[in-house]
Amino acid sequence: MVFSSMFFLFIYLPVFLLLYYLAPKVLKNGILLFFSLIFYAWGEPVYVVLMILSILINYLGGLEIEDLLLHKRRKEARAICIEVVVLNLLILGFYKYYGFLIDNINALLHIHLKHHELALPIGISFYTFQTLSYVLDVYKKKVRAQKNVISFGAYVSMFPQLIAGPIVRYSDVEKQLKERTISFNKFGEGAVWFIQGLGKKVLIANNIGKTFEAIQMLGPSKTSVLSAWIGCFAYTMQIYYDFGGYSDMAIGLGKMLGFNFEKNFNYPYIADSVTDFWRRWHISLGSWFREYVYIPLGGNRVSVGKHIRNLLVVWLLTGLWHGASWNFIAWGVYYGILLIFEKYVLLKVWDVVPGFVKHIYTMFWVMIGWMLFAASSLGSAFTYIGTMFGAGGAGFVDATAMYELRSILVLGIIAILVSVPYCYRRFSKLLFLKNTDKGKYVFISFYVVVLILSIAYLVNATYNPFLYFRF
Amino acid sequence: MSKAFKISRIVLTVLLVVFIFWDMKGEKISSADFETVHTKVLTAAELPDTMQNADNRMVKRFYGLNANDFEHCVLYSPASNMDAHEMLLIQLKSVDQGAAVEAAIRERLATQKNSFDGYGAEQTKLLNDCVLKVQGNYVLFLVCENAAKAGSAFADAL
Amino acid sequence: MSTQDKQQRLRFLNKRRTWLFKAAGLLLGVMLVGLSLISFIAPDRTFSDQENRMLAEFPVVTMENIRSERFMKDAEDYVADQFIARDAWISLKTRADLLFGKKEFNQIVLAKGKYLMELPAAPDTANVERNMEAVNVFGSRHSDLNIDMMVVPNAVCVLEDRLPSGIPVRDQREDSQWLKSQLKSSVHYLDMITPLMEHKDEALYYKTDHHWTTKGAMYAFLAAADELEIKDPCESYDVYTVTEDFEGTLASRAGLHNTKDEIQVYAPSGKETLFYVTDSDREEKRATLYDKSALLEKDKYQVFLGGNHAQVHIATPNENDRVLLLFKDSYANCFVPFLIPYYKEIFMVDPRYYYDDVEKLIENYSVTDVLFLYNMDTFLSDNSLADVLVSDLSKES
Repeated sequence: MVFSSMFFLFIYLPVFLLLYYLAPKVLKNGILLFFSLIFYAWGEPVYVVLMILSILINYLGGLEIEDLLLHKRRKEARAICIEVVVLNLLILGFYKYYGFLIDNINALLHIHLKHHELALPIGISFYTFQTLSYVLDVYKKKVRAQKNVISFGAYVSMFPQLIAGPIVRYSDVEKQLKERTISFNKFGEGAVWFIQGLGKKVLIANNIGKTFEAIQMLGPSKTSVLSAWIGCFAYTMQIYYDFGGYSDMAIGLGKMLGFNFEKNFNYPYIADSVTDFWRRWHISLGSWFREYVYIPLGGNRVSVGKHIRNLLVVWLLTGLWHGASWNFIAWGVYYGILLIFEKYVLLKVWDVVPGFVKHIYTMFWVMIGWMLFAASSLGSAFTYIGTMFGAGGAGFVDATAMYELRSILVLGIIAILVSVPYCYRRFSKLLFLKNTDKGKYVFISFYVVVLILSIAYLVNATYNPFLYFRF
Repeated sequence: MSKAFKISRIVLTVLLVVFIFWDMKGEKISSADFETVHTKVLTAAELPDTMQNADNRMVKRFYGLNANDFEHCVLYSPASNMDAHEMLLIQLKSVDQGAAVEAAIRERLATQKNSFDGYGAEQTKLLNDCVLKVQGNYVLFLVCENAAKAGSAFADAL
Repeated sequence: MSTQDKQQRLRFLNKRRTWLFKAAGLLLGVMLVGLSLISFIAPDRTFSDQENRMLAEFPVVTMENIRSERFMKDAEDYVADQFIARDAWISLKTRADLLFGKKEFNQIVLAKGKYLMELPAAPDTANVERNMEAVNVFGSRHSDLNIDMMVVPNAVCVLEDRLPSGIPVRDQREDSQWLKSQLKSSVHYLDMITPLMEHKDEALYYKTDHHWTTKGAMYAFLAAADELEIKDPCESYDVYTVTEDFEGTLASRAGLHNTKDEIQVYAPSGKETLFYVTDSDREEKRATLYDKSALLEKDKYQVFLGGNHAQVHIATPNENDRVLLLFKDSYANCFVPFLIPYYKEIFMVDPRYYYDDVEKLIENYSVTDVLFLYNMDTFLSDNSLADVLVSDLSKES
């Protein structure tokens, strides 16, 4: 199931919310767990078993580690922790990377090991990272182990962030599992987030993505430089509004349930360096890697050599996390190198550079990076990037490019406007206009329009892609 | 206390391994008898009376498949060409044949959808709601009103 | 600002924020609960006129369907299809699309003058080459017959001036050259692009349907007559408009219902040929090529011959010995009336549905002429012709 679907909006969500709000407090986590399992099973009727096993393994692991720590049996606790972490990584690694590994071994050694095509269970990268954060935090004594298996299960599987994040660390919601505010006001706050996320995904992302698809289909011989850049721009907007929109919906749904999740995006496209970009994009993933890989490895408090190693390891893993494919690994390493460069060279002189140059520099690398990310293979990535610099067969500007430009104009401008905080701040002023009520009515009518249009687009859609879905 | 933990950890790990192996195993070969499966599916499908049991030539015409390549093969086609009802039930000689058969059926489905596109709304719906199942050594392709029900009967019969 | 002012300001902001949350909560709650309740109460529809398709029914619940995820897909389809005021929501979406500057809807372009044109798909090269090989083999086996091939361009080619500039679309001229280059000399390839382009400002294609108009068919006929060895093709016709209310397949597929088409029937002036028609779906003979009952249905183009049949047989009292075998798609349905005065018998075969032996037909009826009449888009995705022409052609897939 996805949030941007008719069934979710008009059957699942109303039924769930009704039961959740009516239920007494002690039952709320149970209802959340039950409905989240249904939500997951809807998309993966078989792999829901895998997630349940993962929940049980990590639940018992947490209890055992804490018990051992309480009895000062540190070494054993460490052993259990390692064992559970390894089990988690094994599950993730196996389902996600087994096929990739075999393919590469075959290519390297020129043999033909057969492997059974395994489906990738949806959300496995997200929920595994959540359980890992839990186990490690229990061992580090950062959190208390969750004694209630239902509450723990609710944490791992809760449907707002199950399929596409944000990656919610247990420490962030530990208290909220027990005690949280559920009110109509909170529901409304969630509604604001949800409606804007829905609009981002259904109105902007889904539509602007079609331009990228169309341009990809041209093939290099028919792609002019302008076409290539328009396509790249389209994808750059699509992935932000797709993933960002979904994260907004997740946060909104969380609030409806009484949970406060950290935001996952902070206007990434106004970043003034690649370093800054990664503080604004998929924030929960970046901070997970920082806390559980970068800092344990020594972070930046080590020699230069080791520091560079740490950065490269983190970015290699980041790329790998996104997918079992060379273009993702390349994408991760690409950013690793850029960040090292910035850290040791660029940022030392960055202050003197004017703002707009910084933005152009940043967006240049980000957009090219997306073409590495979006491609189906490393080869096709290079081919496409090549056409961005003239390697295509259609010159600099051609009629097709002008056609695509005209097609994307309105939506593209809207996408750019909404991606900078300035516009929303100006718009918010309407809400806070003193001495009149008109402003606040104009403000809310915007949300009315977004919701109605989103429903109109959803009713019609048979095709509703979610780009971060294969994680 | 720690004993309970140890036992439960072992149990869960075993369950996990079992699950993964079961998942890896792939489609199992059914020992069901063809005629039994055939009858069960026919009963659930309730095909229109106008349909006839077609000969191997038609199997070749429709799918490009040789009926003799398989253990058993039966095709029901409608009397009129303006009718989209269709049923193909095959018991494969080997599981490896499944992929090629599925590809052939998909091509047939695409051609049919194309033929009826725009003017055969009911036929288009039947085609869109069709059942195409490849399970181990059995293949079912069914275009009819009760396809979903018959698809379940097929899976249960195996 | 004094502390008191700041506190007041803060309280005001919070009040407004709270108002926003309550309003948004009300909005979302009412929409989600209200619309789903109303949709639930309202009776299910079976057919959508606007979309020209059957609507999903309540899904079948079985363990197998759940396991195979069929149930989930059916449930989603059901909620979307039976949503209250579905047609209104779709119209709203289409209007929004047009506002955003969208010109392509589901592989259909909205061109100037409210023309809807289907964007041709990329051809299945293997199938086309196989079909052409079969045509060549057929041609060499029947070198005594007069064999012609007409592949009619689609609107995107002939009416290309009306397309939004720069839109990526297949060049059907190139496709036509490619087809011609594959033919061996025994089969004559007729170029239809040039003759049709001479009349491109006339109504050669329907605005809401992928077919050509009868006028377009007429110009093609006149251009082909020479090659078809028709000595004095009739050049003046009485034109009868049989409907002004035709909305073709493209309108529903694109979701744009902003115009209607006329369908016209052309009868040769002063030259009436009697004939009777039978087809493989209706055995009884009739003396007309037109099926008036189709005019009461949605797809009014079926007024020509009542749609596609595996085989159609037309017999006339004409005294020449010419018997025509016509391999066709639906474009031929409005073309065939122009041929009637010039042949003794015409056999129309639609290879998609034809399962008999074409060799027997040629032998038994002493066929003298063969014509392949297709539109380019359909021909380039056809996979039935080869097996009908040459039943023993090897199949490489």
